[in-house]
Amino acid sequence: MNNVTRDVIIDLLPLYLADEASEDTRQLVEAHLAIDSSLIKLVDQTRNIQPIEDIPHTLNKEQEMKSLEKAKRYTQQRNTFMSTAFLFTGFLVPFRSDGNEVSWFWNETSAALPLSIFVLALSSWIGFAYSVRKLSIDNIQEMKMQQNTFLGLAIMCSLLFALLLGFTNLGQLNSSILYFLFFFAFVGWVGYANAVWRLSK
Amino acid sequence: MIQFQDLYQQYAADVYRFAFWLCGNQQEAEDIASETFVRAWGNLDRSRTETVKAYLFMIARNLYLKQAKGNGRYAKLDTTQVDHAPNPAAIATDRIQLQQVREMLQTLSETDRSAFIMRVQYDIPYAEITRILKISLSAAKVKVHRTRLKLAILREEKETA
Repeated sequence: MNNVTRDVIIDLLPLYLADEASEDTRQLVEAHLAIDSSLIKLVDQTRNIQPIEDIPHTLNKEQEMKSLEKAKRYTQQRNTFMSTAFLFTGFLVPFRSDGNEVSWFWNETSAALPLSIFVLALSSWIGFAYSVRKLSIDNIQEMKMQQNTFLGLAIMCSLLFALLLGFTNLGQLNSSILYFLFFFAFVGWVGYANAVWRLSK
Repeated sequence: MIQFQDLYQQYAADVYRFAFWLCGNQQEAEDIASETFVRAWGNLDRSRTETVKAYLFMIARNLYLKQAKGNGRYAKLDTTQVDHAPNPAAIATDRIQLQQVREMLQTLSETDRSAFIMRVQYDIPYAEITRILKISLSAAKVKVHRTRLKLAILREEKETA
């Protein structure tokens, strides 16, 4: 019975030592300590645990330089992708006014041009997301990045889909381009919903 | 603005040791330490902790967890770790003790191990530990004291053996 009690007291010791035990538990532990000198010794030893002797570190100057170069390369990549992504996305959105009529800037050009810009913008955003992922500090940051990437994809595809459908003469458009945009917009919104759900868990 | 070299030189040893206590492997600890500084440098404006050291430990721990998850295991001991201290006779005993402590730490859950190392080895405040490990203050304290108790029991068993 005593052994069992001692084991129970040892189980309770972390709570007691952390000052997180209830009053009853504290009294129980203290009552036992009063009659068990070996346990008092153990408690003293526990309280006096010192930092373990430091192990020698094996990092050298070469590793420091490698880390520095890698950090510079990754941040440079991230900044470049971000700039080009904003630039190409910016090219897609302008409108122009001809007197009373407002039209999309790319309305009178071939659809291939805005679509090419769209592909470049999309590639830049994906590159940006990938470079941020390489620099992420935890899972939450990674998931937020995924969420934003899907949201960006969804908005860009939905917007371009609407612009091509609303402002462009459909006769000059290959309908597969619209299907293509619709598909990516759908993937974007589903991916975004999934990322939001995963983050909320 | 803090320079990369300053950050590295000031904290690299601690981050390496912290990673080493977590993973028990020299090569892996070096990789985690190097990667920690790369990521810290790319996210200097996103500190979620009060101190730089706690921030670096948080990144190192996340990298360790990610790596461990990828490898499908949480502990691997490196038996090739060499102690460069000058007195071989004295160190022989120390090395056995250190090895025992390392082995004992590797038997603990990752959160118990992290909490203990941060608190006892590096004196990180409990408030920071709760942020890094995403646990309550009580849980952090109990985890640290549970590990302290285990080490004390280990020491007691060694003395009586």
